[in-house]
Amino acid sequence: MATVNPWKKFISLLPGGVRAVGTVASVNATSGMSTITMRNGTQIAARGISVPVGTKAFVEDGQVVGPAPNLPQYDVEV
Amino acid sequence: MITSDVSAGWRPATVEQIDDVSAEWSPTLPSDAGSSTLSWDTASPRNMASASAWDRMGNLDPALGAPWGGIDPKERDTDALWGDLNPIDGAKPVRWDHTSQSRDQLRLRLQWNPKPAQKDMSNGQAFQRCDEFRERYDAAQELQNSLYAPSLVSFNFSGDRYTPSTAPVVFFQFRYVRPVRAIQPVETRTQDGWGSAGKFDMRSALRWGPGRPKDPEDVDIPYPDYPGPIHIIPAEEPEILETYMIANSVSLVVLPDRTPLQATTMSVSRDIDSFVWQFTAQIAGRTSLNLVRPDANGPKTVELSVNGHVWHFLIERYSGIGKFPSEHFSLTGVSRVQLLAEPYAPKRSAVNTYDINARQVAEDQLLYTGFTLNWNSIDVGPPDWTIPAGAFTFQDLTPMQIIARVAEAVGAVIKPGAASDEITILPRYRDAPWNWGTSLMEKIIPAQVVGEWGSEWSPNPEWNVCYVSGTSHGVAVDVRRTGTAGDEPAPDVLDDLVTSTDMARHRGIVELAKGGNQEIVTLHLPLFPVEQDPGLIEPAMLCEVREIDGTWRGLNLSTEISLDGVGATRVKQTIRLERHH
Repeated sequence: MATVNPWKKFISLLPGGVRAVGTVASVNATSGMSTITMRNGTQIAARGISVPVGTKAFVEDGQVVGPAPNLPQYDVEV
Repeated sequence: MITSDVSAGWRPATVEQIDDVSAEWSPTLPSDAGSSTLSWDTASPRNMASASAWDRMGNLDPALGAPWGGIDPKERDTDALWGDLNPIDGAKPVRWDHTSQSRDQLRLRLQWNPKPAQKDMSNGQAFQRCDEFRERYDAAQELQNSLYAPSLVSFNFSGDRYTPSTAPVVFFQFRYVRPVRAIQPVETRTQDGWGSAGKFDMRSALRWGPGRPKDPEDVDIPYPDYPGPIHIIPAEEPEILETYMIANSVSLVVLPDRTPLQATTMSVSRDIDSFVWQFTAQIAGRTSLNLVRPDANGPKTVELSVNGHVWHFLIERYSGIGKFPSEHFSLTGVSRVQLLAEPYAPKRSAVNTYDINARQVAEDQLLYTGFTLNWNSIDVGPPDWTIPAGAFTFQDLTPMQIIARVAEAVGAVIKPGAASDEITILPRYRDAPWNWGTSLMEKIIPAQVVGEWGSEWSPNPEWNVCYVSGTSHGVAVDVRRTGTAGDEPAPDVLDDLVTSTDMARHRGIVELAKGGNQEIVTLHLPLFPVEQDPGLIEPAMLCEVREIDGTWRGLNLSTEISLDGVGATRVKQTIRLERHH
């Protein structure tokens, strides 16, 4: 999806906006960091301890922003 | 008498040979213990095989059981059409609120006496039972009898004939007075049944849903007599000529009076991600400027017509520069769809409290605006989907921002009506780029009409899987290219509105189409008249370019039409095509 729209081009240059869903593997209340297991199995440390261990969380730019629901999962081939 | 003493013999009998006797009556020994216990054992089930003949019946036709299962909800997407209406005039005060005030409280006393007057107290209405059982009387005969026919009356007065005197003292009147009869009902035996209508042919009930196309993809069979709607008009073969001569006709007038404007240079442009056509013009003098200057009725609308292609523009702003003795003014305008966006439209905030369709969201925003929505979710796309209650919320957005958000969620673009108050939701990719080889093209551009060209290489990683997910509601869908391992994921898409797999699939195609080796090709070609192909090539149209060394296909990303020269008659169309390698 290429674009020639100046606004879209500008938005794509801005940093941030990375949003993902992962499962909280551990919470370190002392340092305020949570270890998140992403969908592909890799683990990252994100700031924020608001989501308990074992549940899913939204991670935006390295910050835990809140709990995420367990949505039904589908696979589609195009 | 002989008496002999017989004594003795009555002593208790002694037990003799008790050992032998006891040995005779000893319990019998189980002589045949081994064989007899076996013969009286539990009978062995001999007919095990035949007992299974009385077993439960086998399911011979398990597949035929399915016709009695639950019915699939076929029109699931359209059921929310019957939801509750939004209260639109909630803010308007109700005018019938206050009760009427009594003004003459002191002097005027209304006397409301529901009783009838004394003289009418006894005039009760007579409700009598109708005459159901007596013999019917002849109403015609009764009428005949009641008619008074004055005639000569003759009495017999002892043989003398009575002759009425010429000046009679007494008159006889033999009028028949009809008795008051009760009404006699006729045909009381006939009773009409007013029950519910019988239900026949329940199974052949017609489904009144929207029509569905039978061929999801356009087949290559021409339908010359097909009068129905054709949503994707396939491209006509262009005419290859040695020389193309176009007498451009350009006119710019102010609506509604159609007063012509003196413009020297103009340009009209739109790209695939914007929802309005942009318009700029250089106009000749102060007189023309005064015609389009915004007044108390708001901004003026102008109509631009180029070779039969018509646009309407709202003149938003102008700028002027003057240096004695000359003046120059330039105008900037946009399509009228801008009235749905800032700064003209009010901002709104809402959350859906019921299940709602995406199409309904867009239609709700256009209510009472005069604009209409075209969204052919069946033939052209993008698909319509249901948004569950609470999943769609927005704060301080204009109607166009809301519609754009819905369109972006499904990977669609907004096409404004050039000269009409309508907007069209179109899929950005009607077919995925890897299927363009077999899809229907809307325009064919031969190299013979291309005057200039340019290209720009813009590569991206070759993604083959994309994770499209809702956030608080909805579904999570892994959209994967067929035949790939799905090991090159595109950035995840997390959108509140991803609540159906169908639309998630459509969004995934758009996300996957971002990847790969792409080239943006710029082509300059004339703007042919409406009746000649290719005419105006709009953004989001699929085009086939027939170059000298091969044919390729691409998606039009932007269209710009520049008009300059004397009378703005040098017309050039510039398109930018997205080409996938």
